[in-house]
Amino acid sequence: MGEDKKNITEKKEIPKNIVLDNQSFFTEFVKPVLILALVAVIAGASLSFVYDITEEKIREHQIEKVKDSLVDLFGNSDFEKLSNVEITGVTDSYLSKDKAYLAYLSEGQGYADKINILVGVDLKSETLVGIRIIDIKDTPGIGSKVTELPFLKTFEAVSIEKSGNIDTISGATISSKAVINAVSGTSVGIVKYLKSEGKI
Amino acid sequence: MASLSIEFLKGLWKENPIFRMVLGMCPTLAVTTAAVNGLAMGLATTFVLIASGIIISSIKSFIPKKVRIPLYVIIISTFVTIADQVLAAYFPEIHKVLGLYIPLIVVNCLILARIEAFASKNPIKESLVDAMGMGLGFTWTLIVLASFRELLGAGKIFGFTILPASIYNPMLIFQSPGGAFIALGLLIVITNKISGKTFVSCHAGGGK
Repeated sequence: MGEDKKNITEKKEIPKNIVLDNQSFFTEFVKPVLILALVAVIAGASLSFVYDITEEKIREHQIEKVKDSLVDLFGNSDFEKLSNVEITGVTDSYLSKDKAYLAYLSEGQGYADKINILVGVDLKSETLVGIRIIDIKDTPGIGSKVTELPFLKTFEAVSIEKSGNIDTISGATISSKAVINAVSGTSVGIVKYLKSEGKI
Repeated sequence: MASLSIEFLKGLWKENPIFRMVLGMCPTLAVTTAAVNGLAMGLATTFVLIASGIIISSIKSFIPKKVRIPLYVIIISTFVTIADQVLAAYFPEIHKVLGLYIPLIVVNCLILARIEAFASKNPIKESLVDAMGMGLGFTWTLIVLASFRELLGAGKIFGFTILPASIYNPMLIFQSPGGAFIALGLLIVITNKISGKTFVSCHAGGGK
């Protein structure tokens, strides 16, 4: 049996004195690479073309989503965007016109990609008004549980100092921990920063 | 005409991607926790299946055999990304529901299998019909599997309560990945029974 196998492998050995002329070298090695590169270039070009037309619309929807979430959390979207807020983990921040509420976008590293979270803070009592998930790419049915109301409700009226103590979701620990850390890791810092800058 | 309808119908039952060929298990087992997820995943996969099937079938004579697999992967993932972007831009409501599932399509071996086994060897018209049949077959099977799991795991179908909590205590295992295997196994048993298919064990067949 063993000898049989040996014979077969020996027969299949490539002859050593094979000569490739230019013609077969081209069709065997160069052409496949060129075609693959060409397809990749076409694919890349069509993707950037699609990206170009859709990018603006997607950003509009994103802004709309933030506005909807603001209305959802505070009952209105009377907020002004703050500039020059440089705190790690915070992308955009908004202050209500009466300076009683703060809302900001925070990013946490989820299971698949970054989770984008809108955090609402009541500045008088320094408690969370609530949070909303703007963008998430985690596993449907598992990580996506953090977008559901039962989890979001646990953030309501929690003091910003204690927001790190919120329970994770069993079975979705990575995603829920990412959200909790993104909130607790930024909320105290941004309020302190705004106070020291005299903006509130 | 007759052969076209055969190509279409085979995906629905005789060569059903999930029950018969057991392809695309990754999204099948992962997303079928609710019927609406199954529907969304099925339709998104059908789109990519049709689009990449047509493209591959029309350029099949230019594709060198050595680099065909990377080529297929590039084309499939291009369509998946385009679908994702277009849905996000123009149908944000659908994207909200579907958005999470779209990247999963890239790893669906059903698409690669149909392209390698069918679209790369057949004319455009046949490939289109085959992709439509396979896509719809995939979709209805996902809906059935997801409804089964949703009913047993949460007492609902498409979010509507069928078995209220007062008379039925949901079996949570059907919402978990383990329950997906159990549910899929049961459904394959049922479909084998219906189509009268019997399996001969490998040992009994003399190591065939």
